Amino acid sequence: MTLPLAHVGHYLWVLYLIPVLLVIGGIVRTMLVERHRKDD
Amino acid sequence: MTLLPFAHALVARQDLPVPAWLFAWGASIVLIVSFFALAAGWRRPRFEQVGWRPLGAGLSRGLCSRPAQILCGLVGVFLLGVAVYAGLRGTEAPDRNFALTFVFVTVWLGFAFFSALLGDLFRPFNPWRALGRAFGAGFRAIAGQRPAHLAYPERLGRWPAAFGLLAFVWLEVVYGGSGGVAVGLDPHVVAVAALVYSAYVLAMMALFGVEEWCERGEVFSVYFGMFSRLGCFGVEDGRLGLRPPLAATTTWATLPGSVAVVVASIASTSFDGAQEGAFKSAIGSTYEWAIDRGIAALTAQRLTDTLFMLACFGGVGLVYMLGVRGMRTVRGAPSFARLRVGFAHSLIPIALAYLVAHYFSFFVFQEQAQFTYLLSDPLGTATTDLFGTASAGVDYRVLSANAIWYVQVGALVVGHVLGLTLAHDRALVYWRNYRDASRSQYWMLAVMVAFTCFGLYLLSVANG
Repeated sequence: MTLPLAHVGHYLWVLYLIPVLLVIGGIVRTMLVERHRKDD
Repeated sequence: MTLLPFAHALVARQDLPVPAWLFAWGASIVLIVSFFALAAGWRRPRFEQVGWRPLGAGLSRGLCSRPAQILCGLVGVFLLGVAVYAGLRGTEAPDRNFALTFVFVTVWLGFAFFSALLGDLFRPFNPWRALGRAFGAGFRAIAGQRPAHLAYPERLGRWPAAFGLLAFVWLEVVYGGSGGVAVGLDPHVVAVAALVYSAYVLAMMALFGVEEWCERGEVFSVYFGMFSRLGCFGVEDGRLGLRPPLAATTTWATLPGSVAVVVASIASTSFDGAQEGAFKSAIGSTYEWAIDRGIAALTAQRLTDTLFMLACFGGVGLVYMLGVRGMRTVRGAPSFARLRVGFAHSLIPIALAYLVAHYFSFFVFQEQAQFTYLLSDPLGTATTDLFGTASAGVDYRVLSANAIWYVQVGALVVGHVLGLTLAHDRALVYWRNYRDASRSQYWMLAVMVAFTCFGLYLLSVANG
């Protein structure tokens, strides 16, 4: 069985997006943690 | 003789040891590490007080003297004249005509690269400034008084330069690049555009004053002046001096429209890189859509390219504004307007990094043509051989594909780390508490990581 990888090249841009999303996720998480700490 | 196609072809596919996308991860990690290093060890602003110190008086007198200025001005006017003449009288082949390479490579890229290293080199060679000053001196000699000027509208700021910058790049990559030709700009069009622009600049100088217009409205002065702020050489009160690198950028964005200038610079380079790569299929679909609606092919191509170029401008501006918006949420933040203007200078190293990453190899190859056969045979008609180099060619082996890739990645990483450093330094001015300042910079970190990954993605697609 061959894996359906014929069009994988079209989705390589996702790999460039992941670091950006990780950083933004980190920022949002830090903000939420701080907000919770302030509320407590 | 090797003929160089006048195209923004970057490099052929390289044989990299790791996939290109992994470089984006590596660059992001470098930025994140730099961010934490800045947060831990950079706790007071260092760039705000520009410590300018004069260089030797003799050197200043020589380089800033009136005869030197007149000589540089004459050289600038002469070269503008040669470019216009070559455009009007020379061959129609873009790669053989002096005008195209001189305007779009030697001047546009050369002054940007070297201004960042050596200071505002364009100012003494600016042909329009030289002509404006000569006309002003002539007027004073005849009328016995200084020419009266209108007050420049403050709100207009650098907006004319921002629009002019987009128009200049549009002329090259949209108007000249349409119709399936990489850069199909007719040298005749370049010459006419140069004449029209000269008339416009001289009229504006007559209205508002030479220095006023150079500081705010003259596209090339504003553009190269922006990059010159990165370097450590500057002129104050007619004296040449040294200042800490990057420090002069902190006072650059005070005029309205400065954000638009630096965003336009990043956006226009991005569009040029994405046009034949990342955006190719989207541009193709939009073009087909326009054709289906009965629009003529060339008009449809130009319309589509213009829309995507404006979308790039909007996209780059939006990412920056989101970063500013994020900073606004941090306790003790100044107003949105103050933040937007206050952090614009942190984009200048990124604008230069994009320029180096996209055009470095193109510049190296094309300058070989400029200083050999284009200089000896400026009209490209094979009728002159002024310096005996008319039959020379371009050696593509001076740069390997991998060397180009590493310069591109290096430029992007260094540019964004410098941008992060400038933003962190400015945050320490706005937030007295360094913890709040560092917290505000999470958002600029996101902006920098986004620009780095986007830049590397554009290059990877263009190179693939």
